[in-house]
Amino acid sequence: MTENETQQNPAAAATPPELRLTCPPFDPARLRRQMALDAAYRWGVFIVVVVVLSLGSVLDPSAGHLALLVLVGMVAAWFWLSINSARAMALVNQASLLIEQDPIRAETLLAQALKRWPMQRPLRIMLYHRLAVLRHRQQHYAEAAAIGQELLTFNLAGAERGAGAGWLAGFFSRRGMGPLRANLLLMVVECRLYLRDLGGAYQGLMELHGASLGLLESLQRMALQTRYEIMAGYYPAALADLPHKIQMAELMPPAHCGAMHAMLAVAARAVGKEDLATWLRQRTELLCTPEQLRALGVE
Amino acid sequence: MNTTTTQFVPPSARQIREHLDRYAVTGPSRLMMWLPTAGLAAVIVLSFTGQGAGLFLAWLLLLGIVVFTSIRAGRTRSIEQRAVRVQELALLRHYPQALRLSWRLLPAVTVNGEVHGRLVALMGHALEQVGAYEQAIVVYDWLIERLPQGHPASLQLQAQRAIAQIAAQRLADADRSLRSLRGVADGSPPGPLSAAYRLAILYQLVHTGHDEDALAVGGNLVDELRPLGVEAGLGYALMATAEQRMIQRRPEEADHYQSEARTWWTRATLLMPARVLRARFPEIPAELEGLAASLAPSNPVARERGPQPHD
Repeated sequence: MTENETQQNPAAAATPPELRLTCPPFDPARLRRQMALDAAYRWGVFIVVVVVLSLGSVLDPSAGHLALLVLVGMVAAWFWLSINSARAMALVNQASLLIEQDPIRAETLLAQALKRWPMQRPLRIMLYHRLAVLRHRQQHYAEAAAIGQELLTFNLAGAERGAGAGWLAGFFSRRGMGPLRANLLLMVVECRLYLRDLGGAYQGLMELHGASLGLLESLQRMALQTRYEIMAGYYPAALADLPHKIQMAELMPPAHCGAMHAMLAVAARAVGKEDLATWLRQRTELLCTPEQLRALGVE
Repeated sequence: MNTTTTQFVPPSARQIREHLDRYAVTGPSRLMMWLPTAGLAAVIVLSFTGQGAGLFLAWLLLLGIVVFTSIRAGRTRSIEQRAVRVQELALLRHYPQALRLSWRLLPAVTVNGEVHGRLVALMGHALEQVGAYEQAIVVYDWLIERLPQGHPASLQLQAQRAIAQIAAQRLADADRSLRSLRGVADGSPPGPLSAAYRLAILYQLVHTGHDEDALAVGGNLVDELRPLGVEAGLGYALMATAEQRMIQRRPEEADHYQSEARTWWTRATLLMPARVLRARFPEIPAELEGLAASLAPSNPVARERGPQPHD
């Protein structure tokens, strides 16, 4: 931890150095391997239990005792999975609360959770999602985008319902985009924009436009699309349907609302609408500070 | 609450209190929590003791457990989605609809304290926004009583309650609420709590005619109210009101106060339409709207603007 980080974050300084762990650089192959091993463990236990339950009573009494022993072993294995998942979930939940205030401590907790095996599938997805959020917070946009992109290749239905929902959730999930998938896509698009990868951002935006989103996700999509249009020089597109955009921007948190106004002011100035640009700029000044604008990547 | 007509009639304070007490948080049922585990234990016992029919019963029970847990998971998810819908309606300022849905949803969320608390808070906010201040106070009281003292949500609710109390002319109660917040809000960093507290103080001062005191608050008001977003316009309009009143009290400094009134009113109307400001705080004098016509910056999008979120 640098001196600067310590000054900015006194809470982080309180974390003893020996307790600070860092997550290894993201490797998609490792994530896939972990997911496969988790699945093998769960299905292995499940299949053995089903076989023992099916055959246990048809075998002779001495074999029945052996079957009971195997069944107890499998129940213990299932409990181990549940206990391990519960412990990892506690770490992930704690890390989620600390990502904004104390990223170093959050990373330590996530690193501890990453070492655990086996784990329920939705929890593994949630763990990597939080890691992506942390990397985004640390402005490691390339890694955050890579994690998000990899997670998007999995079926997220179970994770959408929370880690406790288990394997049944996937069977009963609704079609369409859930909040986790939308959240990942929004984060990936934002990272791509920070990395100036307009092609990647465009693809993500297209996918977001094809989905039915909630109000909060729609607001984020609108802000990202406006940023994309300004970066790509599509100023008239950024100003299209302006009354509706301003109406929607007013529903955002104040700093984000101000950032949206600042971006629209840039577009208005670029197309020569000085009155509009001035009006938008004046509103920006009342809604957020220059520091907040910088933090949101809007200069 | 009248749900059979299209005309929105907010429930009375007594109805609200009864509804909240009847559907208070109870926590998840222990029976429901242990039922799947008990079922699984029964499956194991049956599969080892039973033959033929017993084994069939074990499989049937297993299927029952799967269906039971799936239905419970689906129901929980449906309730959470409806709670999100209430939040969206409130955000879009469709307060009567948000209130109706939260009222109907409350009985279903007594097992989930977090969703229950969120719904009740939204109910209070919606009541305040439709001008049902007495009812909003009941909701805020109910929530504050149940939150730990000093909890950030409780402090925020106390600030909101103070504004509702002033609007409902319960000035002594409002003063008590603001006094209890003073130490905490003054020491807290700029954020929603300190901004809500500043707005409440300003409203109290302007409402009770302490205009000079209100002007003394205004030094750093733009920075202090910024966390409120466009709602900060309410605070700027109150400042303009205080400045405008000072013109009559000190005619010798009329130019100064008029200039200040214009500045604050310009800021207020940059963020919120004048009619919305006056609808929220009737204390705002009509003369200020005249200032807007001549001095406020023209709103280039107003002409093409459709229905506003404040409407």
